[in-house]
Amino acid sequence: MTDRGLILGLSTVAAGLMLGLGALGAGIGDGLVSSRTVEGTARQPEARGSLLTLMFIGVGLIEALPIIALGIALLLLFANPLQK
Amino acid sequence: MRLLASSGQIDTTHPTAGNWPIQVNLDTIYNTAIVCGLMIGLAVFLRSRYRERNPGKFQVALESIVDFLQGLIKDTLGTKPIPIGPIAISLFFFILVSNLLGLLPIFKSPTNDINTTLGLALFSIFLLHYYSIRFRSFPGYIKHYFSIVQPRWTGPWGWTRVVFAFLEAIQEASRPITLSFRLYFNIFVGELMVALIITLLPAIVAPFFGAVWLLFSIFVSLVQAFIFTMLTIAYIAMGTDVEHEEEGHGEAEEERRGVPVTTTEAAAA
Repeated sequence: MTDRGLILGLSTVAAGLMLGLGALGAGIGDGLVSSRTVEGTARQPEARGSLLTLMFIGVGLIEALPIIALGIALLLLFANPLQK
Repeated sequence: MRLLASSGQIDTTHPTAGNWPIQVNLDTIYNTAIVCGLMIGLAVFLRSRYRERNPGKFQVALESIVDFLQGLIKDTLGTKPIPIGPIAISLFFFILVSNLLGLLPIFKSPTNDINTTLGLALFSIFLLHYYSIRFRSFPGYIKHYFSIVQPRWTGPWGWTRVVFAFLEAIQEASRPITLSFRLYFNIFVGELMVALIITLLPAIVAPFFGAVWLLFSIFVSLVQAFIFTMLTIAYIAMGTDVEHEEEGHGEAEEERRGVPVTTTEAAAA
């Protein structure tokens, strides 16, 4: 196994791990935020507007890190800085 | 630098001008100029047809956005004398228009470039530290890092304070990084996905998926612009929290609150 092959193969595994774990974390976080929003709206339908705003803030903040992971995974897959 | 190793070639590099140490990405400069021109053009257009009694749809939309942002600032900052309103509204509209520009066919977003978002994030962080030092005075600003766990200055000074000061410093140092990278990667990955959808999917299903992804990108542009603005305001509000002095603040608050009341009373009299 050549050196370059090893680096590219391990980079692909790393990219897969990054994407998978990022999606897992984002899914759990988004699910928690959305479930609390729905529960709060069910409890108090007048607060729907502000709860929706807070939900979008939460989703935007939660989705930041998986998208950073996606960007670094794309970098590793297509323009690997470690290969010779 | 990034090339797709299959049939299509997607080039995400920017044409540059100059060398180290001053090197600019030319298409980011052009697109930023286009965004600024668009914003000025829309502002002039709105000003020419500004009606107080019977406003048009565009005016109502912009007024509702500005109203919402002003309510947010008032909720977060309270009665602190920080003129963050115009800065926050301009930041929001600039980021929104520049995110949406990349969804049009020929243009690319200025926030497609890490330099733009890093510049905006450093601007916000500079504002945060400036207002924090101005509100707390430099010794108070340093002492705040050592008082995260125990918020009173008169607690025991031990090694726990140093550890938590270190952790708080790391948290603060990560703020410009997360602010800039969140905006950059959301917009850049959105544009890259559009290019990948067009290149990789067969021509029958590509328009459908492309349309769905474009709708999602519009939503992401709105949310990311709003989050950047709101985080700037929230960081400034957290950084200018002066808890202990109450006498001086009470007088200043009464003075400030008294001004609009007396003018309306004078106008009514």
